[in-house]
Amino acid sequence: MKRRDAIKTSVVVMGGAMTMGSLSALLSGCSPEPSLSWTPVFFDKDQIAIITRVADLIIPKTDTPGALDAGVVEVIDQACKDLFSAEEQAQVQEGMKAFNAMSQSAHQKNYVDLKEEDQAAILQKLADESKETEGPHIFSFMKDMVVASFFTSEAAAMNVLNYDPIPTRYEGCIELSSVGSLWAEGSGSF
Amino acid sequence: MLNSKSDRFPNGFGNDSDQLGRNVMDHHFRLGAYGQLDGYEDQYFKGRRPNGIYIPRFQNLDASTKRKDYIRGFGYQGGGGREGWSRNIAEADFGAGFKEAAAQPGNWTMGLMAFGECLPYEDNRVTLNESVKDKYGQPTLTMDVEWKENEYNMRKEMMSAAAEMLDKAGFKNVETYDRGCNPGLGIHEMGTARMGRDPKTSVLNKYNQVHAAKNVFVTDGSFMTSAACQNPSLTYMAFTARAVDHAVKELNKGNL
Repeated sequence: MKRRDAIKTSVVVMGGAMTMGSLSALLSGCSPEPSLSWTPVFFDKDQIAIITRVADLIIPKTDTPGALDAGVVEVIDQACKDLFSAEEQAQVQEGMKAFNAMSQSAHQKNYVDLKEEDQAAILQKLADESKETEGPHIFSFMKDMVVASFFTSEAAAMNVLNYDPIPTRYEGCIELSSVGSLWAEGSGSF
Repeated sequence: MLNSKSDRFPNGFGNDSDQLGRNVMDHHFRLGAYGQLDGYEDQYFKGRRPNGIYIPRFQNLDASTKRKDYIRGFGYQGGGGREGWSRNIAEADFGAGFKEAAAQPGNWTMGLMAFGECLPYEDNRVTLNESVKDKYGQPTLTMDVEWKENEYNMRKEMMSAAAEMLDKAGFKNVETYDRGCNPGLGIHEMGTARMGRDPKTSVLNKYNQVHAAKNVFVTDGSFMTSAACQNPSLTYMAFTARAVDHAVKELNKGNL
């Protein structure tokens, strides 16, 4: 599972890079809700509405930009079309049904019509479920996609992480407090 | 060369030995181990590290390092760093707290990846497929190459020795990994026109000259007779420099 996530993440990182151009266009004209300024290529409008809520819950706007400010939903939609096998695409489509199924059984409403705390509660249930699941799960998938698209975005690089345009000489031991957070580069580590 | 057939060379140019196209080698890798190190949470790094660490081959060097289930060996490349935003955050699965924690460096980690030698095997070979032609009407290349018992036995220790080192060095949560590796992924292709003293069993002589046509030099990686476990580019360059030096001397003597 972990290894699979790592592979997925590296795929997503590449996908994120490819759509950087359209992403900055999105950032300049981002409105908080409805009327999409772009046309989904993999998900339908209802699914996009769910993913929008999920992305916002996973990485909300705080005093820094969140997932929606970074345009991750468009990246995820494009990545799902271009980067995954037919089998994986079918798993994603099947997995997406969980959101409305759980909200209908608990609240007799669709997921996007719930109050934010109820949406978060269902997402947490799915998160817990994913930890008990061997193999792919819609929560792990969406989280990996949101996290990777967000942390490789311009919005995150410039506002949440440390962006160093010219890294130059290597200093192997500095105080973390002198930079404050992760460098904006790949998924970290080596 | 396989494609250059004539009455003199019916099996391909310079192929009197039937060794042309045989003994394809590449390095097998993409496995090893990684581990986490406690402490140093307030330390970080900056800039671009020019290289990682390298651990030279330490197996089958002498009687005391002799291995039972494989010959030759492997080296390690690796490095240390801190986990990034793709790690699991224990405190929260999502939300503002998750976002804040994920933007901070995680544990210090160290990874070791092994690069192993592939032995030369006669039946690991490339051949021309005359029945499937490309768009220029040329025969396509059939590549039939696989790892064999020695490589697979070596791969077990390529993981376990890395884990043992990290463990002894004090790393925690040490895990081995094997991302799988097919011949070709190492992009260190070697062999197919091996050099040797005997024209009956090799394609090139010690100056990279085709045995039966001394005015033809082959100076890419195909002359290699064994793959060792190191990156081969410097060796190619050294042999090429020697071949060129020989060619100039022979030209000046009027021998070429």
